Amino acid sequence: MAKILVVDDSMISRINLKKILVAEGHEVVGEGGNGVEAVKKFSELKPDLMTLDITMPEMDGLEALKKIMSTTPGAKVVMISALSQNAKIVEALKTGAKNYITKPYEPSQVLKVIKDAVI
Amino acid sequence: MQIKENVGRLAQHVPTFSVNDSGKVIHAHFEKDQDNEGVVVMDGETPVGIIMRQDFYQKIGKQYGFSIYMNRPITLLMKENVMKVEADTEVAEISLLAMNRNNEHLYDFIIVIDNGKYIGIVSIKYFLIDLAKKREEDFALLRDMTNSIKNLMDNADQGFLSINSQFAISDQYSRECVDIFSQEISGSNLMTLLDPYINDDQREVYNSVVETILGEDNTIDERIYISLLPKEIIINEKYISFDYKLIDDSSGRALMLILTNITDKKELEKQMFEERNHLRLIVKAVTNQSDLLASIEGLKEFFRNTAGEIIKNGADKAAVLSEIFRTVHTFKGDLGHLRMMNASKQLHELEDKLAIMVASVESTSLSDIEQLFIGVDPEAILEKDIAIITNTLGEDYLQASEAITVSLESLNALEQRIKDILPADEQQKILPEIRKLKCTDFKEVLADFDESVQNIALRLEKGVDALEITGEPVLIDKNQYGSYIRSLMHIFRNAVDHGIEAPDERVDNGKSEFGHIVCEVKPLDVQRFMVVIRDDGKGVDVERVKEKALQKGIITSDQLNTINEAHAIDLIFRDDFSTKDTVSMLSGRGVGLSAVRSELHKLGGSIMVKTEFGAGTEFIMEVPLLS
Repeated sequence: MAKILVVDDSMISRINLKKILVAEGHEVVGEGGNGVEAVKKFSELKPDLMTLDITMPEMDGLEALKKIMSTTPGAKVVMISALSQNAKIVEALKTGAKNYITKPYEPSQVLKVIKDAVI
Repeated sequence: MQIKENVGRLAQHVPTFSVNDSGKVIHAHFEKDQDNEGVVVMDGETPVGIIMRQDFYQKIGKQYGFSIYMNRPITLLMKENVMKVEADTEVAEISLLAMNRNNEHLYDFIIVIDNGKYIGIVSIKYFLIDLAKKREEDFALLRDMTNSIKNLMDNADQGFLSINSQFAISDQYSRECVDIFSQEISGSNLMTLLDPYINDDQREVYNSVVETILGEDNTIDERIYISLLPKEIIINEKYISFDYKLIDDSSGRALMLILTNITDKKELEKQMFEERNHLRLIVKAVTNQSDLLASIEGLKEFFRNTAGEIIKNGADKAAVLSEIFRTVHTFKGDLGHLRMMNASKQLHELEDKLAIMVASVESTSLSDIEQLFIGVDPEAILEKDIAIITNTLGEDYLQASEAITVSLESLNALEQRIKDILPADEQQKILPEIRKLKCTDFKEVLADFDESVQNIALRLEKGVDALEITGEPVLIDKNQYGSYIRSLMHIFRNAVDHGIEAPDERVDNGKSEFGHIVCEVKPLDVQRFMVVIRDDGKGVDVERVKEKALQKGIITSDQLNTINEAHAIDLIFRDDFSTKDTVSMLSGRGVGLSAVRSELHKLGGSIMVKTEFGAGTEFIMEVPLLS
């Protein structure tokens, strides 16, 4: 089971995602509400994997991803996105994100993507 | 002929069903597994036929098709005349054998058996892809078979084409592509062809994904990239589904596109969707007549008079706009909840226009709002939904001031239609509604509020667990308690809005993130029962209630110091008391906690409230049992 950092600007989204991850036995080691927190907490907590929302205030998920990949090239990041953001997801994949999850999501789909990405 | 390969290699597993299964089972399967092309029908261990997705939808799409096939055995739907081959048949023979079939069977699965024992099927679609993949090494074979493959491809109801990294379409494509694009596509560029039908995001995704997956980098997972490509595009008013496969072309890698015209299926889905919505509306109309009539009247009144008055009397246009916007939004929600989807959709469009005005309030004038409303006719908004109701329940429905009387016969007919048309999980929700038209357990009445509670919580960005209903059954005739039951909405709304805290606040206070509401029902004696609604929110702030009452002149400053806690809490039941500063849609209608008390008094019951600041609020109601 993996140590996971959950980054999303919506509290409700974080709660829902945490519920899904914890029920499967993963450990949520930290949470963040914007890109600045994502970068800071990723380097502090060194999680096995981070879920990263694309649209966030202050610094969006793409910019945070670029910073993280430049300092930690092997970082395992799964993007969380709303519908009609496919172009941004492609950019994230090219930057080094492992995979993506589109909201609204099914728990089983989330767990499969996380499992594949952690390996 | 270079190939000495067995067809067994191509055999795939697809779901199998028994001859005893009904059409409904197949329908459920195809709806659930959208990628599945077809299934095999087994009689014990022996394959006796196949059902291809496309045939299935064609059959049930015909007039009466749905009702004819759904409850009958699938043997009526299956094709028995299916090609069967032994697993050691050479692959090269397959296309020739397949080509000898009639056009209408051309795309059917081929059943593969090994010494009489069923081992799987060959899908022509994947067979073609497999052939295309091996194109280079199979060159000699392919040259001989070009015509037969072309024939196969052209007779398919699918468009096959492949592109290189520059989006140039290769020369081999099937005839269906020409039908789909309504033009010859030879030598065309795919992006030029698709340009009028896709948006900026899709265009960028195509460019970026195709460049990446057909590029040099071998470390990427192409499946993830391909999953981001558009799956459905409307081309010349036809719904076309897009499927993608990476293939190795003689000149390098290529992306194969498989295009299927699914317009008929979409049309059928739309009809089914509408039919289901009609039925849902009729069910609501039967079970919630007074709500529905009140909403219809409320909407008419708002558009005919109230909106005009708000505009005329409002000094501040921002406040006027916000009041009107909120009201339209609430009506939209109410009508949506009552399944009046056509009206709800039109209000949604109106709401969009108002949202633009709200966003640019500086450049909007009151006469702009007035103009917008002059063009809105409430009768026209309601027309379609009302017609759906009166077509089934008769014109009397709208006149009825008393509870609607539905004959047992039409209730049974309605029940049967629900069973035929609606999905099983929804049937389980609706059927008890219909059955309990006569007699209802009060616990179920309370359980019905869960949907609204969740909607309110969602709107307020709060989390609330599903309502916990405890206690013992109390059977009542719902019609006799209609107004009281509706008034309970205000207790739930208050609990979510004012009681239960935002998730972060709850966590800070050492509570679980999700709020919890418990409803308890139990009989007290032969004449009365008790209803308790309890939340674990922040409780009533008695000091604030007192302050508010003082401001509103309900109590004097002398009373402020002498009033005891129980009496202070009681103030929240007064008509003139509201801790909300703005007049909302619901309080504008004159309801609130005072409504609960007055409804209870009408029935001869009573209510009291217990609260602990920080820990929660409990409403305890004693309700008479009416015979």
